[in-house]
Amino acid sequence: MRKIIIPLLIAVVLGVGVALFTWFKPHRDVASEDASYNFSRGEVVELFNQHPDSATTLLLDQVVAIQGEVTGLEGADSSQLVLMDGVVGALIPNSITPEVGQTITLKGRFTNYDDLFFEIRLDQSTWK
Amino acid sequence: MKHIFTFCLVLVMGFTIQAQDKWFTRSGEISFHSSTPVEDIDAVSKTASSVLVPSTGQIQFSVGMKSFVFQRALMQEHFNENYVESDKYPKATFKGKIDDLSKVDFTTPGTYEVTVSGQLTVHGKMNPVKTNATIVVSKDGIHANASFDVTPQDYDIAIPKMVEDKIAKQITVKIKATYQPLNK
Repeated sequence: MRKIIIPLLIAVVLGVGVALFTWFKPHRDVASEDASYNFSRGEVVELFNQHPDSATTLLLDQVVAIQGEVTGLEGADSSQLVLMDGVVGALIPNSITPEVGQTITLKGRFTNYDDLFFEIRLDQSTWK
Repeated sequence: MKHIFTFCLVLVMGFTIQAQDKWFTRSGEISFHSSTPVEDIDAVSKTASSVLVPSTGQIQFSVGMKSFVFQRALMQEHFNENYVESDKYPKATFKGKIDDLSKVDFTTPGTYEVTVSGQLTVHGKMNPVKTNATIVVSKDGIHANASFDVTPQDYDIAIPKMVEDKIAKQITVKIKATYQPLNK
C-alpha cells in the first residue's frame, strides 16, 4: 500500500507545483536578456524601409539593441519614450532618461513597426 | 499691461491651435476588459500611435498586439498565441472620423461630446465601429476618450469550448489619448 501512496503523493505534489508555476509564471524580464540582434539606427531603419513585413516577422518579440542618437523624449513615468530618428523605445517604468543628443544603445523587445510614423517600436527598453 | 499681455497670449495660442494641421500621440492608452462570473481579464497597451486631423475630423490609431500587458504572463501568452495570433497579425488599426465635427471648436478650451465612426481591424479582419467619444481641448493638448464593445467572433477570434465561460462574449475596449501638435 505504502509503495503506491508515496509515489502517488509525490506525483500529485509535483503536478500541483507545475500547474501553479504555469498559472503564476512571471512576466518576461527583457532587461535581463541579451540582445538577439544588434543594429545601428541607420541599419535597422533601412531594413524596415526595404522589407517591413519580413523584418517584422524576423524581429517580432525578439530583444533588439540599436545604437543611435537620441532625438527626443516623450511621456513620463510609466510610458517614457526615447526617440531616435525612426526608432521609439518605451523605457521600463521609473528609468533614468538619456539626454537628447546623446549616443546610446537602446535595448528592448520589438513589438511592431508603426506604419503611422514609420517607426520601429520597442517596449521594456533599457539603455546604456 | 498684464491684461494686454494675457490677451495677446490667448490670441497667439488660439492661432497656434488652429494653425496645426495634425495632432499626434505615440503613447495612447488602449485597454480591454472581459468580465465573466468565473474571471475578469484586463490588458493595457500604453504605446498606441494616433493621428488626429482637426480640420477634417479624421482619426487613425495603430497598436502592436504584443504591446498589451496582462496581469498574468500565461494570459498574455494565450492571447498572443491562441487568440489574436500576433505573429501573423502583429497590429490592430482604426481609421475613422468624428461624425459631428461642427460640435468641436479645437481653438477653444472645453469638453465636447461627439460620435466617432470608422473601421477597426484586428486579427486581419475589418469591421465598422461607431462610438461616443469625449474630446477635451485644453492648453496642454487635445485629450480624447472613448469606450466601445467588440465581439471576438466578429474578428474571427475563436474561443475554445473549454474556456468559453472565462471569456466574455463582449469585450469592452477603452481608448485614452493626449494629442500634441505634429510639427512636421
